[in-house]
Amino acid sequence: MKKFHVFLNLNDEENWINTIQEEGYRLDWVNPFLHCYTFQPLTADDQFNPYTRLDFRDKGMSRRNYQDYRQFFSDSGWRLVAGSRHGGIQYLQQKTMTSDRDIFSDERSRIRIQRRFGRFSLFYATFFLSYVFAYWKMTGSINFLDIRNWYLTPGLWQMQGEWFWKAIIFETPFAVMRVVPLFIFLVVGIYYLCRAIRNGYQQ
Amino acid sequence: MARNENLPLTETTYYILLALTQPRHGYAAIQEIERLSQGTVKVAAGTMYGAIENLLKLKWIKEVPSSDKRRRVYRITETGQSMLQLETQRLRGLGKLAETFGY
Repeated sequence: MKKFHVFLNLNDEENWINTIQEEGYRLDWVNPFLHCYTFQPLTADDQFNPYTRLDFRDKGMSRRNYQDYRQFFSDSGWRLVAGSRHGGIQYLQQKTMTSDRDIFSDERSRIRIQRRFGRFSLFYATFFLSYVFAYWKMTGSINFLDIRNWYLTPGLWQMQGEWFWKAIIFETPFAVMRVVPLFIFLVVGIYYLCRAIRNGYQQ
Repeated sequence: MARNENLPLTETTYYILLALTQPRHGYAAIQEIERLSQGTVKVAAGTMYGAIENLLKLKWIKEVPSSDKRRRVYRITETGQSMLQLETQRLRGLGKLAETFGY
């Protein structure tokens, strides 16, 4: 079973995963770019409903250190379902019924992970939104919500009939290439900003 | 007398420093802490990993070479030992103080 869901908060994501797992599923894989979660129905071999817990890494790790990270969690009863050594959310799932219920045993360490997630989000929000702002300033603060401003061709809007349509068809790919990255950066920037706000103030 | 800014230590930190007076990898330290505390302190994996990272940054523990290729092994440093010493003195002082109150 595949499910798509975008989350702004680590706790919300963790609770959502565990609610689905309680209905008789096991998280099997996560694609962090598509926000796609793959669940498998529990089989007769699975003797329990596992919990999945989220850890967050803001920095990449060397191959050796990531090996150690996985081995350490594996020793402690947690299987890494999805996650990358280059950072991001690490999805850890109970291996057996006797594994701990949680990967954190005090509030301090749980809050530290949330703060780290918030800080990381704020960094990327700043990066993407500064790019959008700089690009907007560089192009003379033109209004990108007005489609006519997407086109650079002089005199395009004064052309008549067939010439106008030919010019539009020819110019549209260039206009889209000019503007689409800007909108993507804007959306991604706002997404990270919301994440930073949701995680920074929830204590 | 000014107190060291890192004191007091958390119970978890104190136990980790005690456990790492011998070279150990992360999970061995969790088990040792459970044994030392007679099962009362069970540090969860994520908390332990974060604490180890933090102690490495403070240079209170360091990584030591080992034959285990899959697990990093750590040991207390001299700085770590002196922190353990300071904290133990502080706890002993508290204990003595409580005694004068009849506890």
